[in-house]
Amino acid sequence: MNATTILNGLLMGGLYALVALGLSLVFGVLRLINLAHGVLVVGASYGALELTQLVHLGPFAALPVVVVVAACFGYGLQRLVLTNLLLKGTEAGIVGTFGLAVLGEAAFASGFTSNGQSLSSSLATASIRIGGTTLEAVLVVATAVAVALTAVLALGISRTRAGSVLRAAASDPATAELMGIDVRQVFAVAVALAAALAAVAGVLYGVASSFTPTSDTSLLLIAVAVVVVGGVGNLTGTLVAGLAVGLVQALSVGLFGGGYSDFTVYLLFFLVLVVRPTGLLGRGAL
Amino acid sequence: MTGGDRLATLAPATSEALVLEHVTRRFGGVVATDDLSLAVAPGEAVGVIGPNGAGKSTLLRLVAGVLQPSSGTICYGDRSLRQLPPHDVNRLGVGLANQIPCPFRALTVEENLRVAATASRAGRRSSQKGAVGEVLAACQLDALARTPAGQLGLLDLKRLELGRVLASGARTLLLDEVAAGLVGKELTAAIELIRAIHASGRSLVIVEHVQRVIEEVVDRVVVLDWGRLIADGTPGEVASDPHVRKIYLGSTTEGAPRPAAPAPTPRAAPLLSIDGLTAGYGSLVALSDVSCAIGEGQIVSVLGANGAGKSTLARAISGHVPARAGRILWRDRPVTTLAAHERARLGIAHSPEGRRIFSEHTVRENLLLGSPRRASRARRADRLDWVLEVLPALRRLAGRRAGMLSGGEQQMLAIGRALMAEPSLLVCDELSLGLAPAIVDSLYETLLEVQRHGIALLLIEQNTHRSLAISGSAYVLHRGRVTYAGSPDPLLDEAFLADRYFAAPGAGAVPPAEPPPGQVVATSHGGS
Repeated sequence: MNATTILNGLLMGGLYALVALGLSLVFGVLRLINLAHGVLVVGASYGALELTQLVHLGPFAALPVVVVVAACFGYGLQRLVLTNLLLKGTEAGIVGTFGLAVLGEAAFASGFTSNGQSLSSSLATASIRIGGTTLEAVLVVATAVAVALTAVLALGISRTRAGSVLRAAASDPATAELMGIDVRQVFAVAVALAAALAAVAGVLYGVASSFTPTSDTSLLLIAVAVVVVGGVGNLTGTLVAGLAVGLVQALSVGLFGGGYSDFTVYLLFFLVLVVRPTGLLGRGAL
Repeated sequence: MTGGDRLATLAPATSEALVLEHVTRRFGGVVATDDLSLAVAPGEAVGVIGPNGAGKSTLLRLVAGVLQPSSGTICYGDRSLRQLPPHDVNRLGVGLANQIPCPFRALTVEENLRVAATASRAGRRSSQKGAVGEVLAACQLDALARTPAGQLGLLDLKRLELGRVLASGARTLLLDEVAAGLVGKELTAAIELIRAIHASGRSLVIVEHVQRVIEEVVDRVVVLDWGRLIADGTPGEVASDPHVRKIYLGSTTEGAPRPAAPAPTPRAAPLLSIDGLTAGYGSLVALSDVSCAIGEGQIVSVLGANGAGKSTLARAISGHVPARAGRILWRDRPVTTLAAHERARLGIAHSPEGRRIFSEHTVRENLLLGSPRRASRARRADRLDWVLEVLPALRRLAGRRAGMLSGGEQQMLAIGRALMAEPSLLVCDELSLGLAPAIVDSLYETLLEVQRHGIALLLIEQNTHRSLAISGSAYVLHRGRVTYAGSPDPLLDEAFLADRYFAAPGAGAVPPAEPPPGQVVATSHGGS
């Protein structure tokens, strides 16, 4: 095991954090585990693929379009579907998003076959040499984006008026309404934001690795582990936990070979739940 | 109420001495109890009073093992309670009854008591069975033994809470505001039960704002202020201590001037009028055919027993409970179907029951959340300045996390947050619940100040005398119907008020087969 393996593992963790960020936001605000989050991520990968093939955009030129479409989709999803489900209780929301995940997988399979695809970009094969190590450029970008987006979101939520409104709506929706806050609108914006974050993650994931219609499941599982390990509603925790998961995965591959990497990640998940049930960084402000 | 003989069935118990020595507890920089020493002799009943934030609840929670002291020792008999978790303290015979009972709502009353008896490992299985039956009888809950706890009325919930502590084998009971929210005959019944518990030889430490409980139960009162013990004596001695009067009783002592009633408001166009409103939850009809009106700048009281529909009325006005029939007009415009946030934006502010402040936000953030969405930064800052002038106590707390405030401070914050919205009407639901009289005094002065700025107030209150004293008109609700509407003055007569609280409404609005008044009192415990 060398430094290159460990550092690339850490950077893979940055990508995990990016994938988990939107899930963390929705979990923190709506107390809903959005089981369709993986589908949103992979959907963005397929969306970018479609744009690269149809209009010959590069994946990063397609990114803004994919992000806007995803945000609109997330907004509509919350206003038209999830709100009504959540009024019946969180269970209905979980079941509803699970249905959406199944539907999404089926749609991808029929639209794009079940063969592995990836987004072609010069970034995919580029590498950066630092000291004696060779880092995958796309993972460096993903980690930088994850750090930047986490910082912007965490500061926005703790420092701005909109963030204060978001925290209020998350902690006591009924009382927030008495303040004149349109809680349904706030929740829809939060889901739109989460979908946009998923889209960013999806494009970078599509560049970094190949994806199939069922990639969403493993992404979702990793993201849930990351969110819980980091602490519910704690975006900084999500970033730290993402990096930790990537690191642990790399160490596990280095020490025990590839077969144990998932086992190690979920063992970490389990241990954190036992030792610190509120997550590494504790419950967040959301 | 007729259970004097039945109460005697509670088996005698001998408690041990509870001794606190130099107990200090800090929360971050806040000292909740400061070098507190107190001894409660076996069988004694001690009342603990003091303003909000004085450390009364902290004291009980320290004894019960919910909190651990930062320094000092607590002993029960010859056992130190140091580092003991609550269940171990309970097994030694010290039990805490809470202000807000949280029974297992799906379990029956008897099952709840059995759980308490089992969990405390109080004696063998066979003797537990006897103990549960005895507690059921002593608390007058035997008729309700098979009723799910979720269906109990307030008095029976409080009885169950006391019963739970008794069933756990407690010989020393710590009562935290157990009488809060009870009035009239229900309060009398609760006091009887507490007295019976005391008479059985169990010792009591009672934190209570309801003065009757202190007056009628305890033989000794200690007064806390800022975590320190400042007076200790018989209720008479303590009441005449000038320092205590100043810090605790405020202006409510006999003969002290009450806030002057404002001049009758000139006949103004109604700001809010409600016409034939019916509302409820599921199969429960909480309000039926309620009509009322509030003029610009007017103060209106809405009174009624627990479960009369007062809070539902408040929530129907602010939009959290939909109207099933009837309509609500705001400045002659129908708002019956508007969402809560839209009504808030029109100028209807609601300070909800239980304060419901955002505890993770700072005081300042809470206040700013109240300001209108579209307000400019400067307008928001101006309004914040004004609110801090009306509620100066909040100024020094502005940067603090709201969850750290005392009950009275949280209530001020809830009012301040509602005022930030620049409302024309402020609905206050149970403003004074669980607060010390002096705090309530200052809150009522604030309300008069608010009214002077042209804001109308709808006060939903248990504290009838105080709200009637400043109201221009009043309504009494009984089982969701208006049983009185008009001038507040006649309601100052207690007999008339009790009649309106519990009697059938006037002709024309009598629900079929309304039981006679005495029976209404009895069934309203179990019903709502």
